[in-house]
Amino acid sequence: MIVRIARFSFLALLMANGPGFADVLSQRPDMVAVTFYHEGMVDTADLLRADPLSGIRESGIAFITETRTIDLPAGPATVKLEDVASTMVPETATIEGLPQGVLEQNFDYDLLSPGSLLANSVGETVRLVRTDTKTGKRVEQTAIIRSGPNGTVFEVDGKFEALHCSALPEKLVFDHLPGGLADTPTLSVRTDAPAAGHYTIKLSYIATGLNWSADYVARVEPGSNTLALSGWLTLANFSATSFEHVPVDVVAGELQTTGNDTPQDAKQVFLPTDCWPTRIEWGKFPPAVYAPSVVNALVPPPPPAPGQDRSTETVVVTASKRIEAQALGDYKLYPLPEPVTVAANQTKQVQFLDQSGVAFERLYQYSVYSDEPDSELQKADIVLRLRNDKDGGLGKPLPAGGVSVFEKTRDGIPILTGQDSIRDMAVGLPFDIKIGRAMDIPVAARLVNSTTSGRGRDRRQDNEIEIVVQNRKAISVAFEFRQVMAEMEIASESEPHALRSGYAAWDFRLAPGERKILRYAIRHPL
Amino acid sequence: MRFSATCIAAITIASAAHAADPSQKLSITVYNNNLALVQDERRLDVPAGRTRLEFKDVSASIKPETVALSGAGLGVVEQNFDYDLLTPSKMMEKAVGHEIEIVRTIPGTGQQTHEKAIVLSVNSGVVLKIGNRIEVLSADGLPTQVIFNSIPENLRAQPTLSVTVDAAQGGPHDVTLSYLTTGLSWKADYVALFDEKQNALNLQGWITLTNKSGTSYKDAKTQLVAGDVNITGEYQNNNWQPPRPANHSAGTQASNEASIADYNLYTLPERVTVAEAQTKQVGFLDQQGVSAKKVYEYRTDSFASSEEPSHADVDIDFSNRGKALPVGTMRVYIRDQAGEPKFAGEDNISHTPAGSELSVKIGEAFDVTVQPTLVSSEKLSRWRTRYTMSYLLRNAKPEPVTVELRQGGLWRDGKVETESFASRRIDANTLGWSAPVPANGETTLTFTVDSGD
Repeated sequence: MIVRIARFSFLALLMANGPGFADVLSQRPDMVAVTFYHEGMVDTADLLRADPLSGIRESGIAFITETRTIDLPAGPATVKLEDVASTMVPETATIEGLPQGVLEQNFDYDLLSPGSLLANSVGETVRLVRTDTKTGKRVEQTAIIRSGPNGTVFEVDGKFEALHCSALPEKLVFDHLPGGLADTPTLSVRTDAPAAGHYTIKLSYIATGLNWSADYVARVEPGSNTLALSGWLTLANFSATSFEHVPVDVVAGELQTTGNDTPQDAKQVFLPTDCWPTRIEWGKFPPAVYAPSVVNALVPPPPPAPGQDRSTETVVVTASKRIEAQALGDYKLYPLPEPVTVAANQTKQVQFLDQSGVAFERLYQYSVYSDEPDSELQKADIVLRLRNDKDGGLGKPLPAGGVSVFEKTRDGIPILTGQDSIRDMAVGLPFDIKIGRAMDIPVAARLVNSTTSGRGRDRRQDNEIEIVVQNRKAISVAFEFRQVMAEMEIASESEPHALRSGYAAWDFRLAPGERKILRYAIRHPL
Repeated sequence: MRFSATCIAAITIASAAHAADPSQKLSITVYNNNLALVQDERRLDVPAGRTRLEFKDVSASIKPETVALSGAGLGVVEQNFDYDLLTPSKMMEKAVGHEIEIVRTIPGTGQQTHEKAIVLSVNSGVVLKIGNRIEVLSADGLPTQVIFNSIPENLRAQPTLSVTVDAAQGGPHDVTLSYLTTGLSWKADYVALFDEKQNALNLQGWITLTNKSGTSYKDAKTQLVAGDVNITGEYQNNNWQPPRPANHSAGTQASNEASIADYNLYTLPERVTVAEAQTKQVGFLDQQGVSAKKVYEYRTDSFASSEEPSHADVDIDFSNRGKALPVGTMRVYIRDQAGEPKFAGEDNISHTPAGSELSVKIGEAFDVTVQPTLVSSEKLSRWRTRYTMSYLLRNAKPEPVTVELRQGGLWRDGKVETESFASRRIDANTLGWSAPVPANGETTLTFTVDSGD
């Protein structure tokens, strides 16, 4: 069907273009390559939920490269490149391989729809067909369209009538498509070849609505201080274009974007609602199709249960096809090992990391962010502390994403013990995964005393704080207490602190049942 | 002038349809901020006396208050812009008091009855007088056709500009119609392919013209004005963002573009057709081997710790020699390991005179991070504080890098007391360090400053 309409628009083009310019039609690319980017960290649950009101469907960008072959005549020609991605950002298109370069390039997005068909047919002669519901007899008349989609008035035998206002079954039949309407987003390029020939051209552009996210699954290896870390890339395609069996790259890192890269919206032509008594809903836009999957954000998205959602597909990459990050300037590029299909409105998951024996340290942490803690009994955070280096069994760049931690019960059943997210993690960086709060490590922090001293410029306030922590577990644990403040001075302390990435830290080892008390004072100038 | 102006003649209507007029010459001048000046020259046969000229294909987004029609020997009497569009409901409203024909189809038999009716009122329903009866149209829900005898004269399929002119003399006249319209806009889009090894940038510039004015402009001479033209009473840009100063130092070179008043003017080399709902691009700049370098930068205005490291910004610094760069978006591409150019980030640039130093931020470096720690702070007086900062700079790349660290937040008499390597003053409030970080290694920069007051 596409081919048939394409032929119509081709004819219309010939007429529209006038003499002097030959038309060359490239209906589809021979080869497409897609590079996925995203702007900031993306939550996979948002990609899977695909809520049309959240803006997620318009977010994310991709760099698309198409290879096409065309037969160019000598002399000036207009090359029509059809079947580009529906969310193409037209001003980003560049074309290489034309013998004389590009004189001018145009992106037309007056897409074919009932409304645009009427809008472009004012003054045209069409056929009006009325059907008798009782007898099935069809009456055909010649009509001239007098006004467009804001309420159609047509002329029959010198008299005037309105379309779809009589409650009669009636329709307009067009003998041809009016010029200037494209059935598919089309980029056209004017060029001037010195000699006729067969040329291979490369079209590249930015498109929106293609997005990706990363997720990690950490499985704590029983009886050791190591975990197995697997990483998954989720690719989402919210455009109306399917990419079938294409090479895909994913770029991790924070690119600067301007927010100006938006696809050109199809011209909105709506059909009337203000006729006299009628109920016609003949909208222009197809209803948004989105997966109605309800994904609980608490359940880790990858790896998905088989058959969970038709639009989600999982590609498990075997060890022999490991994806290794390459440098792309100051970003990380992950080439998928084999071509994949990312269909319109599809979400696809690919494994990019599978690393076992990753060392971690389990510790319990409690942080106070003010100098007046509120005395309430709290629970310590459970933290898995890792370092992204070879010695720790890792040493790979990790794109920002969510982490789900699983541990095995004594019966060997894996259970989810918590979720956190990590930022873009370069090799060599330490990082913490905070998975939840420990029931049996209670902590209380209270302000014991607050005094002022000194005069004038030396006037200051000392806040004495007491921390009580108890280990009610049957094993000994590492505990880190942190006092985080913008500007502070520790005036006194019962044990010396360490200055650690922006906070004062005290480390303890707590034996089973041990209760520990820490006292310190924070000094402020007043 | 031989003839006196005795022109109280009957008004005749000359329709000046656009498309079929071979004498028509269009020119459009497009500004950056959703505005264009359209000039429409054509030769019209105007009889002597008063004539109403209709222009159907003017922009649907015309600003009617800016219309000016001029021609030798023609005086403008009045001009109207009719928005009253032809729709079924408008047709019915205008038919009040007039006769229409209604055709009813009996559902059982398919038999049709024709009747004449007078429209009495159109107020949430149509009241008709048929013979001596009063009825509401379609009250029974049965199929009822309404046939009108004519279209009211001032209802049109598209907005129409009409100008009544007074011609001293009959015959062909050269007429120039000019007006401002919204819906046309342009900006520049730059494609910059950066080669880090060669420290070079290949810079291509495209003028991107978008037409959402509702009308096509055929074979128009097209000019583009670059500059911040003040437009009163307009909300100028929906995508306004606080401009990041990409422009480090403004250039002083004269550019090759023609200029008008204080703006640069670009003229497209040939007449072009700017179709409705079209984005048109024409190249205007192609510079190979512009010397450029990549810079890692970290900027802060505060003396504070960060629990997590931040990534350094990646900037491309270069100078535009010879050509002014109009406002637009610069997209930077770099080659991947296979040699294919890949998108690497984009930044807005403002109107930039030739010979300026530009710094375009493309993104953040995955492997180059900065983690600040406030080691101590000591109050020196009511407003002065002594801060000791430690910056841990990490580099996971296999080659050494230099991070440009910018510490703002200094006030009057602010000064460095100690530092682990030498700083320089960027401006009164800002200190700068060029900190080398070894391959796969780290550097710690520590300093103590008196913040000043």
